[in-house]
Amino acid sequence: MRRRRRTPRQQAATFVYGVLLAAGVVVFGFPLYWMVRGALINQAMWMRVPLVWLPPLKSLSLEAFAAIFASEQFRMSRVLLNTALVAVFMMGFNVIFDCMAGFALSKMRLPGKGLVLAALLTTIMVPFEGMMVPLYLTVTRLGLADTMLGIILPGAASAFCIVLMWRFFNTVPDEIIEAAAVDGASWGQILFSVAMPAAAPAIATIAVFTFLAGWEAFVWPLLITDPQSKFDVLQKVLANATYASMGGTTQTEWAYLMATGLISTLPVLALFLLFQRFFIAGLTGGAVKG
Amino acid sequence: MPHEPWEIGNCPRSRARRWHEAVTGATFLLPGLAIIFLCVAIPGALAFGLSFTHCSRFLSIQWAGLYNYRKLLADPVALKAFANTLRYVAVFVPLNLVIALTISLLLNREFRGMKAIRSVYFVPVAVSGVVAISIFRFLFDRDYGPINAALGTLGFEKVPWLWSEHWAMWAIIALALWKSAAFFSLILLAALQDVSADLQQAAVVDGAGPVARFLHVTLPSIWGVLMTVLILSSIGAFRVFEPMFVLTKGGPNDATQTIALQAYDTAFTGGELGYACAISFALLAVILVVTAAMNKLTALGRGRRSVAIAMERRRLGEGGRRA
Repeated sequence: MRRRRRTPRQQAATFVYGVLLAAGVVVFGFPLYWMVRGALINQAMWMRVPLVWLPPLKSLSLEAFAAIFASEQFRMSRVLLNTALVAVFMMGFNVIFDCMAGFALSKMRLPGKGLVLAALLTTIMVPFEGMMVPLYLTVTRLGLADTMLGIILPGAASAFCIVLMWRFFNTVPDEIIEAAAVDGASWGQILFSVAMPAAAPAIATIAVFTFLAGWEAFVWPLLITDPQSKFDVLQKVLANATYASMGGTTQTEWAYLMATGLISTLPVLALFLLFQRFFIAGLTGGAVKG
Repeated sequence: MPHEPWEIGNCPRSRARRWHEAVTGATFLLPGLAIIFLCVAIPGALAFGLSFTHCSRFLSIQWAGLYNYRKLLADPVALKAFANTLRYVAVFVPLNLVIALTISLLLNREFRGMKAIRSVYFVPVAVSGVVAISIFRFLFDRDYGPINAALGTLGFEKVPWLWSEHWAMWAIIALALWKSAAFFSLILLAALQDVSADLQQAAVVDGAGPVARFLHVTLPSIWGVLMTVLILSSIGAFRVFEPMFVLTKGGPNDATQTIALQAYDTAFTGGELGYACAISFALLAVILVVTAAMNKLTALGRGRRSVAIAMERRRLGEGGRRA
């Protein structure tokens, strides 16, 4: 009886739904379109008033990309290499260290585990902004100012990811670990060839999560490196150039900013489309099942 | 002879093996815990400790008692930063929740092409914070920005958005919402897709309209996730730093100065590390209090939610018998 009611009211509801959905697509898609447009149009098109919403094909060029790889300010090849190194090392260290710690907390008998877990959960609550000043003092004291290690170190292990791995290892049955032990495997062998393969989805989650943290790191690298450092990363260079452009003095470089943004976004977008499931799980930290 | 980590039975080596297990376990914990200790625990403790000292850039530490906190209460710029942050939170958090929930409801339907539409909405999640800031700097540009161009076509005056004391904060809120609402709608959509179809059906059988179904089935089912979203977005809003730091440096005329930015400025521009730590610690205290209060709210909601779901379950049982 409900299904027969294809009334004008329902048609109106469908219409409103469609309009809302389309409006949302425009609002959420437009900034991205503007970045792609800005990265690909030539200088003349940037300065056109009134602006051209849909630039003609002949105004498109790759000159901005060529320029940022050649520019002294952007040094894109060097910066890209640094950023990739930071992201990959951060991911690698986290996968190894967080798995080891999570495994020990979940599957091994050792005293004080409860205390360690409670301490880890407390540190998750401390926001970076609340401790960046003393963290800067600490890392500088270690002599790691303006070094690659100094950039990576605070992100090389994560309490959040250790707890995530701990929770996942808790769901791995003890029997398969005991079976490996009976077969004569050492703890290291059990961790790397039994427990970690069993935890592949959780590892993928923390890998995506920490790679992104490294790729998108901005405030910390900016603090710990010199203003013009050979360890500059993508987000720092982009942020500095964006601030410089606020004064309006560097208008000729506007296209460079959008091109840099596009370069920063494309790998993340690829990861996002490939590993969407792990993204959701990783970003929400198991608060929501992905 | 192979040594098994797990001792079997009462062999004489069992104590040695247990010892071995504890030592190996501690070794596994060591690298991770050492890094976290060095980079979170020590700085966290230092932030608290240094907030009671006069401490300059060169680490000359001098006990100051509550001086820094008293100074904070009398510092007009710091107080303006607190007020700005509260204003930002008060506008951002509710808007974020409403927009994210609306989007997730819009996207929680299945038809051909929906996958493509969803990915457009989720693209902001894949854009880094700095890139989003950079894009919006151009969207809001006074002379060449598309927003002013559109307003001009509609006959409005040009607005100097990020360069205006009145509008800068609103522009920053818009940019934060673009990224944040997309992210949280992703979480809410996952929760909506877990809402039991049986419960929805039962409600339909009982004659509930769409609004009643949303209030009595959907909302109670996603209540927990909704509260998580509320807490996470509030914490993020209190910490807001990056857009102001990159675009306005707190200006014009301190209109976009926030607590985190104030701490940064005090430490790295002013060189007053002790005072900066006091500001950081005040921010931390605010966040902890808000988190605790919201956890209470979640607990209250959980009670309501279980009652509502239990009632629906019972109806569902009755519906099943009738059919």
